Amino acid sequence: MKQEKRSLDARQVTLVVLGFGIGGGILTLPSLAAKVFGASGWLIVLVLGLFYTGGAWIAGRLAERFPEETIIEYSPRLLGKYLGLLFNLIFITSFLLVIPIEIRILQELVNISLLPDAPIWFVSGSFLLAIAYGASRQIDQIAQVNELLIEIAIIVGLFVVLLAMQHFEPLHLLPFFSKDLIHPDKVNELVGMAFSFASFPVISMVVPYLRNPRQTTPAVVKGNIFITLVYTIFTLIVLGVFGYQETTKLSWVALELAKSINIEAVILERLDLVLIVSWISALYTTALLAGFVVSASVKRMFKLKKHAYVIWALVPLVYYLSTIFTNYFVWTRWSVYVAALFVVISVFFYPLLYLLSLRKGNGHA
Amino acid sequence: MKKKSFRRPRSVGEFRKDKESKQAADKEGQQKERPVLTRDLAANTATLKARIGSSNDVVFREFVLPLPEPLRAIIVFVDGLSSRDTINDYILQSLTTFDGEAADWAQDRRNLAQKLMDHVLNINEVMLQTDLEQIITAILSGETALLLEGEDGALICNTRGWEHRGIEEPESEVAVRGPRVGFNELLRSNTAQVRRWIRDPDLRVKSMEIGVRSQTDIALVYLESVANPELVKEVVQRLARIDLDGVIESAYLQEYIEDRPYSLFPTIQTTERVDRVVGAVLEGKVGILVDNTPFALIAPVTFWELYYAAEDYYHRWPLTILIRMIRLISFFFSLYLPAIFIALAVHNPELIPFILTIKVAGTREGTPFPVVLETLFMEIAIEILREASVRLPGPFGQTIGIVGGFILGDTAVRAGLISPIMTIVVALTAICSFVSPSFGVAITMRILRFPLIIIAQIGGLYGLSIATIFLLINLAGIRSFGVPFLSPLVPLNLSDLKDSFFVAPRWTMIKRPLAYEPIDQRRAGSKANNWWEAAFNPPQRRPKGGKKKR
Repeated sequence: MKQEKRSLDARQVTLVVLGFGIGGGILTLPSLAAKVFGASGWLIVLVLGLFYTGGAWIAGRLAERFPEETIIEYSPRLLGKYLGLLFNLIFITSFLLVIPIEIRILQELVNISLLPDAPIWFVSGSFLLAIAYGASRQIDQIAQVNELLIEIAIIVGLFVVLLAMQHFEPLHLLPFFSKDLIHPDKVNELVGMAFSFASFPVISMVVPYLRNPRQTTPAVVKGNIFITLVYTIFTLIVLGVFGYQETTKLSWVALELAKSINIEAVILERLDLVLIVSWISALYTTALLAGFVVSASVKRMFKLKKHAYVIWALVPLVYYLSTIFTNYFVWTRWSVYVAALFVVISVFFYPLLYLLSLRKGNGHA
Repeated sequence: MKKKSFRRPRSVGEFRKDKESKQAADKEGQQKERPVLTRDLAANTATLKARIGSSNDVVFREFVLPLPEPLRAIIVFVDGLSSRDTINDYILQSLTTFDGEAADWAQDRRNLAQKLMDHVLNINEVMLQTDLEQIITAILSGETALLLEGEDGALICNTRGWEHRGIEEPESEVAVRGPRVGFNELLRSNTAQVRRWIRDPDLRVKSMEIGVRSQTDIALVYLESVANPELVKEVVQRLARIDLDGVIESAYLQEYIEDRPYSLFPTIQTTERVDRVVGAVLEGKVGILVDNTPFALIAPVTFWELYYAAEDYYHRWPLTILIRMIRLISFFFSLYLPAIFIALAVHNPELIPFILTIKVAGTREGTPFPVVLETLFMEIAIEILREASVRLPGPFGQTIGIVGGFILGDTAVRAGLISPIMTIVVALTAICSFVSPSFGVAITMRILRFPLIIIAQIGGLYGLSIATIFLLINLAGIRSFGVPFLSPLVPLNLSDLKDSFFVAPRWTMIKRPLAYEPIDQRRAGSKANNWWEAAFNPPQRRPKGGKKKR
């Protein structure tokens, strides 16, 4: 039986959005939310998620208008040659920078827990090789790996969250929406938080592989709603367990949450390491999809034969970038820059492209 | 002085063109030289003798037909491949004793071969063949060729009959419950067995011959109204492309038609059990039966199906769920247990509960080798023992198991060469690897275990995670005749999950596995519209005579 070119179903596309969105964000998002909104931090996560779901709807509608093409091909037609080129460069750069950041997060996680003395070349190098190997495959293979790994990460994460409920104190969530706890001066933290929800641009690169392109919008919206729910519930539990003051001080909240669990008479003594092992898969799916988006974008931009050449050619550059982010403070600063790029793409460019496509009417739908 | 001339170098295109024209000329020459049958019996006999007569097992028996004008004839067959009783009773006796003087049809010699077929040869399968190569192939396949004076063709009579093993229970796939029948080495017997189980007029048995020298008979079995025609076409095309000397076992074909010939994972299922092939055919797959081997091939197959046993469907469904869960846990242990043990013992002992850590450390005290070497030694020792016990005859094999497993292991622990905990880990892993119903996938797990042990030593749990990601990428890329290897888990197919890690009650499985894209998706006989309707209204509770009228 022949393999179809359009091999992805809507469910897989939803999981692709989910796989890119759920990654390093879960480790830092609750503390960022607590810094800005105090005990009601979960509410800002929910509002931000719903706001970005609107963005996801726009991205879905835009992609549906060009079911045979990716955004790299139609953006110069809509925006004009030079602005289109600028958009493409921002698009590719933002996804490219995601990979070294995810590598660096993994390096930190592995060094603080699993292998304290492991050298950078070993951890980052092996992770990068796995990313390049995965991203050089065909999209249906990538979607299958993403599907499996993200489900493992979510199931393990859910397991940890459920066990952590033993320390949940509803009082920690009060006062609800108190003016004293809101810090408008730290609203710039919202940019960093926004990155966690801005996974929908991935759809612009996978729509030519979707079996029924008319299902694009529901698929991407579902993906974003699911991300919103996951992050909101997670932030709610973290705030309920630690309280907002302690949450603001924690760098790796997910790990602290796993450490807080006391379970006796089990095979494994510490659950945080299990969480890390499973969370490697969540970090991997984000970096894998970013790698695919970058390589597929460059391939389409320069009309190359295979995207695999691009990702392997980018390996030294990505490795170099990952070594630049020497510590927690450097990569968190860089992740804010990347988040800002994603905000520009999602809040400015996508609505603009959609409006232009409606006006020019040169879509296929 | 004559100038020395160099030949102009030929381009690749010219070289290819020359080669093709040379091959075409050779083929034409061969066809021209190819001997053909004439109307002269002596010449025909000489031609056949020149081709196959130098073998002592080829019998040439001349006799005279009792026609008004006696006519010389000859039968040619291979001793041992053809049934002597059939030849004596239904060919020789019929042809030498009929009353040719009195028969009207015998007065005229025109169309004599056809007339003999119509009036004399009381054998079930006879055909006239004029192509010499076809005649020789038929003789070497156990059929008998009858050549007549004045005829430039031969009558081919089906007299195939040779000694063969009876129908027995397959030793490699023993079942507690289920039919005790397996395939044998006789292709026709095997196809007949499949037909005996499926009396559907849509069951197709498509024959092919593969192997330039062996000319082995192959039979494809499938349900025409169920199996996807694209799948059948693909199987036929892949088989037709095979170009090899001889087919000794179905594994020869397997290597040629697999999607990923370099992958460690088998993408075609092998079985000796008739019920397994029948079940696969009913689901829309294609069975490939090969002459001279009891091992049939089934295509396509998914990774999970390699962990199903035929008898899973003969037990009640709750028991099957338990059995499959145990099998999956065993699969995980057979692949990962030694590696996880090393990762925890070497890199993350803090993960192991304190009392267990003390116990493990206590048992390892005084052992001379690092844990990874100890594991590798033990794993290699187990593999050697396993291989030795398989190669030796039954009682000796058991002895090897006892000597190796019990005496050697116990002595090594007492001597302090290995730790008791390591013996437990390696023995448990070995037992888990025996649980796999598929020998092919069990071997794959054994091969993968060794690199995982080394990776665990170097990279601990992190290394194992990355190795697992590589493994999953590899598995996700495998397709068996277009079917994703990891389906129905990824891509998720809820309908097919009913027969995957667990088994739903039979009456709820109203659809065939959709991964194989059967043209008839619905299993015959199911009254319910969907599985939940079937689940909440099982056939046992339905009133007789259908639904009640309101």
